[in-house]
Amino acid sequence: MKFPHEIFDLIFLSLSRHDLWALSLVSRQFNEIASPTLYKTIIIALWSGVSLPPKFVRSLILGPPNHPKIHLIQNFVLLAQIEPPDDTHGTVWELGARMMVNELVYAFLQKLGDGQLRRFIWRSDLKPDGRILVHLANHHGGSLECLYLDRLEDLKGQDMPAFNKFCSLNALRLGRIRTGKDMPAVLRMLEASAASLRTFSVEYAFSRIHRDDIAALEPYHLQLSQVTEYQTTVRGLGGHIVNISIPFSQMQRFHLTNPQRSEDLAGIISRFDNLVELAFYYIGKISKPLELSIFNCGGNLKILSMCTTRNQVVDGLSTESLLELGRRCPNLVELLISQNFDFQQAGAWQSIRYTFPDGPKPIMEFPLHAFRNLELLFISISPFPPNDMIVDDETFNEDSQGQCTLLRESLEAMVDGKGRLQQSGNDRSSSTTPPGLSKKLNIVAVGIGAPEFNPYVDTYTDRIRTPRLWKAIHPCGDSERITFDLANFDDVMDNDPRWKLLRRYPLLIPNEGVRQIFRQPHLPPSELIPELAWG
Amino acid sequence: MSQITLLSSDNVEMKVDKEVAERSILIKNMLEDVGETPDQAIPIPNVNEGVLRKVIEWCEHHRNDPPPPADEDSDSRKKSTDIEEWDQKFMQVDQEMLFEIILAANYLDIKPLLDVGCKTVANMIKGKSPEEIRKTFNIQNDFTPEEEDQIRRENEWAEDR
Repeated sequence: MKFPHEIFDLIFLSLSRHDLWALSLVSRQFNEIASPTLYKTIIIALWSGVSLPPKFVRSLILGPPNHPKIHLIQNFVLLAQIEPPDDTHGTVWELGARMMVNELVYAFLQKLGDGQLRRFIWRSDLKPDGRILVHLANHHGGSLECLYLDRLEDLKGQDMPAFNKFCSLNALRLGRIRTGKDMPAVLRMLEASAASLRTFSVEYAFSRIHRDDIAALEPYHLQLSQVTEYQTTVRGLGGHIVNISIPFSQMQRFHLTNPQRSEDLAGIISRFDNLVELAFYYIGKISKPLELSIFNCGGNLKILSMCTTRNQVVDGLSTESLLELGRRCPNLVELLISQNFDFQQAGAWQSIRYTFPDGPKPIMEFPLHAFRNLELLFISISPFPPNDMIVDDETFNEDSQGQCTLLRESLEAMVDGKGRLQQSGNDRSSSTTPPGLSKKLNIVAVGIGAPEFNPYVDTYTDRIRTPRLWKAIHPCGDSERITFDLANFDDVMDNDPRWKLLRRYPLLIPNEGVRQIFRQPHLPPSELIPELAWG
Repeated sequence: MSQITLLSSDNVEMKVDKEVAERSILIKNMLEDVGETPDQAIPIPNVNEGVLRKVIEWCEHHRNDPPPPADEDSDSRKKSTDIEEWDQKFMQVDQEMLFEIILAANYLDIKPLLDVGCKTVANMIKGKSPEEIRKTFNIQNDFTPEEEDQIRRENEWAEDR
């Protein structure tokens, strides 16, 4: 096998770490060509128990002082999902786990040469020690392009000037910043990387901030001139930082991660000019000014998500408003909306055959013909019975009451409402909306709350909740109906890995829960690393 | 439908529809530079007749495919299980031919064919032990026992699945 390096790179792209390990032991030549890929990304994955990964410690931490390949490491990923064995000693247990993980990572970082790390990803609820961040700043601040931390706290008292050394970040994710006292370190990082930062994702775990903390922002010049993707909570300090740092005119993707009132949302969204992707959570009903600000996103908009958190009931757009949305934003590819109140009553999808002799009642009215480019439609339903059965793995089956068929028929009825909706559409947009159904629709999904496509465990019932996915089967002739086939997450993923939304990739940073990653631990490293389109 | 002639490295001429030949970005760019359909055969110096015929067969089958996405690093290149059935059968050739097709696709700049070839090789490696990989590709183990032992220790962290 005599290939140039770039071909080997392509072959290695889909191989797991174990496959690369096996290749390195095949021959001298293969050891040489496989090692750069094998060592490029180091992943420490700690499952539920607290135990050191002995082989990792032996070969990369306690091994010979000059490991001949350690200089090849560019990316580091920690995946740690650690749950205490019982509730009685949870805090002590977590403290022990945190100390162990931090010691492990810190010892590993000390083995690396200066300036070799490009990506550092900490996916865990365990908080990283401040010393780890300071070490990264001092030794890799000039080379790190991606810094991803699920938690951030206790930075006050650390060596503050060090944070100015993070000067080449283009993707920064800071999850759950605990208090306003951690903000000076964050602001120094932002200021240092202001010219290179493209993607910024932040969550503030605190809602109140002292006026002194706001005053402390004054010395920082947060002109994030290259940022095009921004994910943030907007309240208190979050709102303030958005206001002083975002170049609204160049922003392409914007996610608001805490629920907002309609009037506040309208004020924020109306400031953008070029949004390609917009996601927000809202409370209550979408107001007319908010509708207008969304419509004004126009032809650029490709992804729109407007749902709510999973325990709330909200009212979705009316059919008329959906028609207008399709007319004003004709290039939407992915649309995530809430069911409107009219269709939330009494779980209409379930009570069909006996009370609706003309056939199943649609889950909602959706004017598919108005969305010529739509590929994915997610319908968010209320969390109350009988809707909860849809997302409950134990009750959603054909055996009990045939829910699968009922829901499928309800969805088919939804997209089959062509005649009346077409008429309604023509009233308002006859010149711009051609007749006929969109041919591109691929997936329709139904779930509770926001588009959490990944399975999660309901904390109250401890049951797995999974949104339902349906694959659209398009008819050959225009006169026939679109039908749906029940699909599942893995089918969709395996057949079409383009569905970043299904994988919860806001802002190009993989944001799926750690649980989801552990569901597929065999994934090659390339699947776990953020795709930096510009890197 | 205009046709062009390709000349393999072993001097065999092959007529092919221009549209089919233009699946190769190298040839497409060459034709665009010339500006008109050339009368003379286009030499493909790195590809022999047998391989060139296979490559043309692939291009014929995929003549109407949409162009590959602009963002080449997209996830679609990462999965090795999603090889179309026709492509899988097309790649059922001996190893020497498989490697030649990959090299030709790389030279001619036909990215989808290169991807299919690389994924086929990756699938031949997946899940195998070092010894099984050696057998599959007929590779000699040229490590000394000491070298092999050292690499096992160095790479021990990556051993577990």
